[in-house]
Amino acid sequence: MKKTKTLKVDYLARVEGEGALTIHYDADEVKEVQLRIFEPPRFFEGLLRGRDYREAPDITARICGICPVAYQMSSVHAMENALGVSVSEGLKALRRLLYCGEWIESHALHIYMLHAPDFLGYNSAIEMAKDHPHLVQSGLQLKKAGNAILQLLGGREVHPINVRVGGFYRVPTQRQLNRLRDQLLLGRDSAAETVRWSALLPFPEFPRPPSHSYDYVALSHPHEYPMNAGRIVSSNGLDIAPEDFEQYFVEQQVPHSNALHCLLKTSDNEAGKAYLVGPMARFTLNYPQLSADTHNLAADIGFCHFDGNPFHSIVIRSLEMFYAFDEALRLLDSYEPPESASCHSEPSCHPEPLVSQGCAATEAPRGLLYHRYNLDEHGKITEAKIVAPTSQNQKTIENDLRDLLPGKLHLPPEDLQPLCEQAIRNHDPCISCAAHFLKLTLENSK
Amino acid sequence: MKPLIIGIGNPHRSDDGIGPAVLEHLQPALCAYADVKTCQSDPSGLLDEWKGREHVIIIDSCCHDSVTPGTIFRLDGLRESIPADAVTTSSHAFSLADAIALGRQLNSLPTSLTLYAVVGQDFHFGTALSENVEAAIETLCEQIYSDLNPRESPCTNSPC
Repeated sequence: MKKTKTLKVDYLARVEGEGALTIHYDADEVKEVQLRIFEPPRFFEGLLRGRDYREAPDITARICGICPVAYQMSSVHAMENALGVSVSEGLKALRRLLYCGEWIESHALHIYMLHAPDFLGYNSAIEMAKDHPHLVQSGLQLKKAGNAILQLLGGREVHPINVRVGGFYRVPTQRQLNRLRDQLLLGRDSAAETVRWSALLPFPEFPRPPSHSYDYVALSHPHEYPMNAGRIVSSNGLDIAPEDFEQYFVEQQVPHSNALHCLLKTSDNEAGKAYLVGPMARFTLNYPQLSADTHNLAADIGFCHFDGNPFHSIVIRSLEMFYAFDEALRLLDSYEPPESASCHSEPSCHPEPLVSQGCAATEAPRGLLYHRYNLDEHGKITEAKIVAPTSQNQKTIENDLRDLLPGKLHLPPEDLQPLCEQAIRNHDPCISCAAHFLKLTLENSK
Repeated sequence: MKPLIIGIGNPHRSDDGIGPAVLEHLQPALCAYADVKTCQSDPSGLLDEWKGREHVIIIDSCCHDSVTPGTIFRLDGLRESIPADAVTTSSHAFSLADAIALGRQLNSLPTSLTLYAVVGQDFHFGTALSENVEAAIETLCEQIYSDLNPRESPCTNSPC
């Protein structure tokens, strides 16, 4: 009888939130993989009920300290969808600029502080800084540039407060925006260096069977690399409006995780199918929409196509970070101050509440983020649904480990564990974002 | 370069706002002798703030189960480690201890780094400090004056 072993990582480091990993395996095969999210449920959807529609952007921004803009953008667009509000092109450009800031700070943090130590053989960025101080300094400076955009447009670096349904509370002056320019130009150069550096990292091989190819899901927009707008598309031909998300995707509870698994519904009504959101999906489905300079850079490093090895995700994040700088500069250079910070003039700056439902999906740094809200006639939220990127990627992360480990099962646990952790970090999971809901069933035995 | 005094905390979370509250008291008197800075979110930004400074003083709140609220702890940030249970364990947000450790690796620490931690009692929403923490402000300000040892007496009536 083969001896079964268990690899347990009781606390995953360098991911946001509290999670663990258990893998049961023997010499020949992986028996079971469980990404266990034990971070307590946070009940955001429950606590939104009864709150005014205008509060949602600021409440949901609190779900995550690293991607608050994504939550703010998905909620504000969902509310505008519910209330039939559209904002001017100038305000849309500012929101896209704000999103660029978030991609920059989030990707810089993950590339340099969380993921680079894996490739270079360190336990932490602090340990890595001893031998590679310039890498950590680059990461901090890039993150600072992203923070500067959030500070200017969002009012502060973390949990921004300047976005509201219908626009912004205040828009920046041309002069304030111009002050960002030099910092973004320097950041763009540094991001280009990041791309070239990341392409030369030692990447583990990922022997994926062809039948296990990713099913990529991302927003897609005819005129831009997706951030705030677009249809939801997949590599298997899905092409739907964000309003139809719940017809095609289903959330399921699994015993080992406080975060729901979101899966793609299958036509035969069997268990849903795993899919992938995030930089690898965006890049694969939207490569033509990246800027000319990003294309040139990708060509320079021979990375115009993603080959399915998730360890290459650090290169894609680097390219997306470069693109975010490029796009931020384009937005700055073409900026024309809008006549008003909001589509509704003061003091009647709030859309009329009505019984309605609104949905929106935007591209958080970690992938597609879907929000739906139902409102009553007073504008109070009666129901909220939030599907975070990490909820959508959980099943795929587990599948990645099943594909990665055969052939490596002879390795001692001390070698397997860092490889597994690195593979999980390929997806930059944000556990705090995902653990927002728990289906609680109380059985009364009376 | 002038000494830098950094107040860490959120003034809208009651006693967490002790850092900014102390700066408010110090600023009129010390504007000629020190720069002041508040920090509400990401301590990784401190690395740039304190680089090249001779003297940096940080004021923050802390939790302690067995010590009276308002108690002031004083640590040498370059020689003493911050107690592990006082450190926020989040990989996405750098803690103050991380910032100091990283500053050490990157040679970007100031020559002298003094940390003041005031034991808080109430961290709920609100802008008022609890009585004991409010009472600590005066002692803390005197201690900081003494640390900085300005050559002239503080100008308590002059606006900056």
